[in-house]
Amino acid sequence: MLESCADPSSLSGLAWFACYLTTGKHMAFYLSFGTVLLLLVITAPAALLFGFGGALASRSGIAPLRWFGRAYIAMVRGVPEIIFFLFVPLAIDQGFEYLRHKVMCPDWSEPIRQGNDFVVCTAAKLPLNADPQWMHEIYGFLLAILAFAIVYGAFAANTIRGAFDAVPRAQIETAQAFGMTGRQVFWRVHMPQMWVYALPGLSNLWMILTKATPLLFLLGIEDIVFWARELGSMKTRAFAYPHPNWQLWYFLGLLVFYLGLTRVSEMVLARLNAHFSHGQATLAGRGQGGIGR
Amino acid sequence: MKNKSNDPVIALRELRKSYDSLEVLRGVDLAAHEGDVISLIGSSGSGKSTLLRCINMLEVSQAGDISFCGAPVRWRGEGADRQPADRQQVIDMRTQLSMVFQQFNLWSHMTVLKNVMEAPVTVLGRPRAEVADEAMALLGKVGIADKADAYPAQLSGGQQQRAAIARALAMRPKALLFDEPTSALDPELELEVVKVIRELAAEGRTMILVTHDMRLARDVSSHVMFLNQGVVEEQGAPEDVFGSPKTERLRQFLHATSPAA
Repeated sequence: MLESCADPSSLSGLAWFACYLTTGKHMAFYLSFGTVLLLLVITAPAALLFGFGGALASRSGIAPLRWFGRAYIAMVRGVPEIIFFLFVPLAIDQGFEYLRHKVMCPDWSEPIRQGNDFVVCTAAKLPLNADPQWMHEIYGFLLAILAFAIVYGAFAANTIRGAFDAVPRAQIETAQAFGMTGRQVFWRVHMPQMWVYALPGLSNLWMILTKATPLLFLLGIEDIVFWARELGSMKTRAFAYPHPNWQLWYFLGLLVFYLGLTRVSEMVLARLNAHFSHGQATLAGRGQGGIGR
Repeated sequence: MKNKSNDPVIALRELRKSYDSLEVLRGVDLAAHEGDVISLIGSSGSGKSTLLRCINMLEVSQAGDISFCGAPVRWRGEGADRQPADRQQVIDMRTQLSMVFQQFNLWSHMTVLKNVMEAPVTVLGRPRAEVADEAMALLGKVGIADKADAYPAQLSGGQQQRAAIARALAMRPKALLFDEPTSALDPELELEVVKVIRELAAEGRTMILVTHDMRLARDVSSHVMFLNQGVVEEQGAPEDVFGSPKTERLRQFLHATSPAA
């Protein structure tokens, strides 16, 4: 904090405002924008990975793998996201702790489930009670990422599966006719052509994912929504910077942030789309002479 | 695998293929020696395209033998369960039998040049620079060197088919399989493709050609086979097949396909 901000009550006008916007809590608020971006940057590739896994599993020739893939897609698609976001971190957390408890504290005789409580030995806690606060926050954040990746991975899986199926059979067959192995067909023809069909769906998904980031708030992570509510609410004289209810302005700030984010996304996605559909005989690809020239 | 003595490049014996209860090929024999140009003619549904696709195993036949340069394809299973026993054998065969399709089937995400280079580089593992030079030469040969960097969708049908022929040649195949190469083309575009096919025939390349173009079949073939309902109804030198057809069916077919005189 700036030197001149030492005594807020003596400030007025711009100086007051400048000091107000640089308080520790505001710094945390600004950082939480980073949290949102970090979530997106990690979740998107993770969801894509889950998506590929799910899509390949659901198209697999191995029956159990196929059932697993289809069940994954069907289950996640059929359940409201919010419920999944609440369920997954809790289930994973308890699952880990349960396993660790069984391994680390074999002598423990009390049942783990005691009525409404979930009790494991201290050593099995994740993270350990003794761990510093940041470990707890990172752990929570990781669980959130996992939840996001599982849910959006299922949607991605469905899109990708559809895209794999949309590639014309003749394109694949031709590759086979030239002596390509299954692997070569997949990497040289099937996969590159799949993108043209997958991209519109995945773009949409990215937008939905972007707009779903405030769900972090539900998972108890101090994200931008949390801070906007916190900082925007009325501050009485008990606070260093008293002000009336400014939530409207804080939420307006979030609105602008999200609009900017989606605008940038749209620009990047448009470029990607142009790249993948280049030369294709689709309207986007402008392959047939005359159209769009 | 050098083609020793006079084993045919492709030999079929008693080949049978059915889809469920529908018999498409009911015992077909064929022998294509080096330099042969064999045309398969017949009405739609006579099984000629299926025959071609059985040769490079895009379709699995249910009975009969396929030999490539004297080496019979190894099978496992019987009848409807029959499958090639050796994947590698199938792949080896396919690398030496290049196919040209009715709908061209150029890979839509690659430029024309990349299309021609793809299989020699990926499948044969030949050096990229060397293949690129050869590919450019082949594109020049079929007359579309200036389209090397265009995408297939930016070309006319005739240009696409010529690119597909260049792609097939780039594999330096022992034989070329043409599946109705001109059927999807307008008459004037057809001519430019026909010209290329004539040149290839004149070079002494081994080719099996499924076609609706009787003039092409008559001009380029060393041997013509007329398929009807899954069997070879009549075959012989083009002069005989077109000049003095013996069977009533062939006469009817030729009458129906010849331009109104």
